[in-house]
Amino acid sequence: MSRRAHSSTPPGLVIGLVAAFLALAGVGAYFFQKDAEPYRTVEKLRPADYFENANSLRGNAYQVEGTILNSLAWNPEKGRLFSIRVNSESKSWPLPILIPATLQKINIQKNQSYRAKVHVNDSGVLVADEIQKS
Amino acid sequence: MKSLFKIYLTIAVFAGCSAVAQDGNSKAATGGARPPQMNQGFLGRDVPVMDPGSDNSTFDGKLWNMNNNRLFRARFEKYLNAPEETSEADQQYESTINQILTLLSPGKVNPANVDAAWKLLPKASEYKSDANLCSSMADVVYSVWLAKNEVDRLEMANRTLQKEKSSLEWNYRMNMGPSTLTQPGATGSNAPTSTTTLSPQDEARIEPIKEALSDVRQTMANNKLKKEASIVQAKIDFQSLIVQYFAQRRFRHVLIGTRFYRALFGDGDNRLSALDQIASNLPVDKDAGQVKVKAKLDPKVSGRGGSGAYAGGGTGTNGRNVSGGTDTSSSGGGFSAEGMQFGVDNLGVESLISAGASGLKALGKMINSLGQLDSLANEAIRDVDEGIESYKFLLEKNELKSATERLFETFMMGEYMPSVRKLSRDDKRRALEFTRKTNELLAALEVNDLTRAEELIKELSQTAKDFDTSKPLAVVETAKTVSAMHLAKAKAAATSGDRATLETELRAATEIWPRNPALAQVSGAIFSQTDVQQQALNDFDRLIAQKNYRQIFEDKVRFIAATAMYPERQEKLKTILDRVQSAEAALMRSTELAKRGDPAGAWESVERGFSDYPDDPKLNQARADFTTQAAEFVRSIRTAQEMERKQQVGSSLAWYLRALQDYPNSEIAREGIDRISNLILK
Repeated sequence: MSRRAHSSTPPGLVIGLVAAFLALAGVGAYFFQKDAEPYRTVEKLRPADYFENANSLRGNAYQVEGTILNSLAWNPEKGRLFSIRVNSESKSWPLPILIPATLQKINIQKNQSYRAKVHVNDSGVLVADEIQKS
Repeated sequence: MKSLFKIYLTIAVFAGCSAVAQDGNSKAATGGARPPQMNQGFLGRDVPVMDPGSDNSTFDGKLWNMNNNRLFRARFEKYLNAPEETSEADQQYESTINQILTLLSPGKVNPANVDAAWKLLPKASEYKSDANLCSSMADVVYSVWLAKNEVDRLEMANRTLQKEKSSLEWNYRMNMGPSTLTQPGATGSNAPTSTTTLSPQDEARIEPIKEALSDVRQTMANNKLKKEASIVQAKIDFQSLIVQYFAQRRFRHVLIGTRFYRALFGDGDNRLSALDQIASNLPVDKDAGQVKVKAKLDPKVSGRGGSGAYAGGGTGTNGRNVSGGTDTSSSGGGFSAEGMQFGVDNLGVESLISAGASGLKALGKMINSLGQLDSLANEAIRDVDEGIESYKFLLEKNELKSATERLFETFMMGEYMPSVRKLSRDDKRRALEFTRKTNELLAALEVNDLTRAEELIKELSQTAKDFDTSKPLAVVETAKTVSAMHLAKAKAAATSGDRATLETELRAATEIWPRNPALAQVSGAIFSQTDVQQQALNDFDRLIAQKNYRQIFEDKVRFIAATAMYPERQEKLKTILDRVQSAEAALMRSTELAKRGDPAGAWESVERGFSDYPDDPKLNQARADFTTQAAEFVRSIRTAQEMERKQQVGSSLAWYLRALQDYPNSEIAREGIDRISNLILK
């Protein structure tokens, strides 16, 4: 029997291609992930802690993601106060969030999901520093 | 002179009670009777007023019939209850007295008859009816005889002394001897005058004769005086006894006495000197003066509204003054009068004795002979007999009032006369019953027992045809009307809560008619109402202290009525009722929600009512029940409220949001959210 012609791909090339693919995938994943969690460096708020004692969280910054429930109050100078439902620990927690006047350009719609970077002010109220739809 | 004896003995009861209503004045209504508590001052508020037409006097609120005093009444009633004196002994007694009178009658009197009459006196005194008066008469007659014997003895002694005197005068003249000359012109038969000087021997011989003669003369003069005095004393003693019998109304004994007197003292001297003698024997102190009763009337009457009377005291300087005054007024208009003064001057034992002596002397001037006494006694006997006849006639006509009056008059004048004593007990009993009832009526009117008075008036009008019911009935009816007016005012005062007027009017109604049946009924109702009201107020205060508003709410009708007159309590009651009403509404709402399967809503409803009335047991019970049924929601609300209280604004708002999430219709949660949101954004 004849020996078939034998054409082989150099293994170094395969390995190189695989490594390049993996590197490309890693870079892509990095960028995609960066768009999905913009405040990934900010700790997520544990609603249970907030319910228990908001004053103890004063000065802290958290990220909060949830659905806007209702507009509670509005003051042109101070901003808008909303209630936002946050799911955590398999429970639904309604939290108040103050969107200050500096963020008045952002439209906040009921029943839409938002992710916000917040801090707990002196009154123990969550004040949004940044907010965007999620 | 009949007036001397005439004691008005009418049993008239009512004339003094003016039946004319005087402006609704209770005094008029009660015939002048005033309740004891209204009497003030020494003599009360009334001046004594006497109505001679009825023999009634009004004094210090008391109506007093002058003839109806206990002394007269008891004596008269004793007589009315006594059996008639028609026994054999009584007849014998009367026969004996008549026999004595016959023996001593002017045509038959002689020493033998006088002796016979005197012998009958002890026999007459043996009878009970005589009361030993004849025995006293016999004693006095015997004393007269003794006095007369004494006079005879004295006359006999004087005759003996006269002989002795003559003998002594003879001896005297003889012992004067030849040297003694009797002057032819000498006055007096036994007054020898010596013109010569006696020797000492003659003097010694004559002196004893002179002394004996002087003694005899003195003794004779004394005997003469004794004789006169003895007779005068006997006369006075006899007259005193006759006067005493007269005063005792023993007229037949008076007749016996005067006839004995004339027989014993046949000198024609019938002058009655006993009264003067008694008056002169009284220990009169001229310096003490006499007691005087003063009455001065200086009326000043005006026609202004109201009525009044004033009586001021007298102005005596050395005695006792009595004063009383009254000033009454009423709203009905009328008149006022003042200026009546009534006083007693110089009241004392000495002054009273002096006045008595003067009276006796005056009486002695009016009755100055035994003949007068004799005729008065005869007239009295006739009058008494006529009175008894009159009584019997009136009794037949069933005119008990007049009959009783006549019998009483007759009895008081001739209590011991045979015609009076012989009246049958049955005849007397009718007068007795009438008298008792009239006395009872008088007492009933005095104490304002109008019911009893009315009954008695009816009874009296049935038993006595001539009993005038108009005046007592007018008194009773007027008093009843006035009492009813006071009761009506009391009721009105009770309704309006005017306690002072209520008490005043009730007291006035009670004073006018203490046993008024309506009084007990009305006062009972008023006091019962007052008790109920007071009890309700006590309960109200107690329930407030216990915060048992639910009980107050359930008895709200009772408490609304009870607190009507108390504005403070009324305000409290209103607040309580509002709160409980609110709680009740919350309960009802919660019950409805619970029925629809909304325990959170039910709890919230109860919770809202709870804040108004946290002590309500019903609300508490419902609250506890619904808390269990809506535990998560309740927990959220309570935690939110707790956080809000702790000023944990964020957490509190979060809890309210969670509560709203659990129960979207929660008003508490919404209110909490709004409240905190505004706080955050202010």
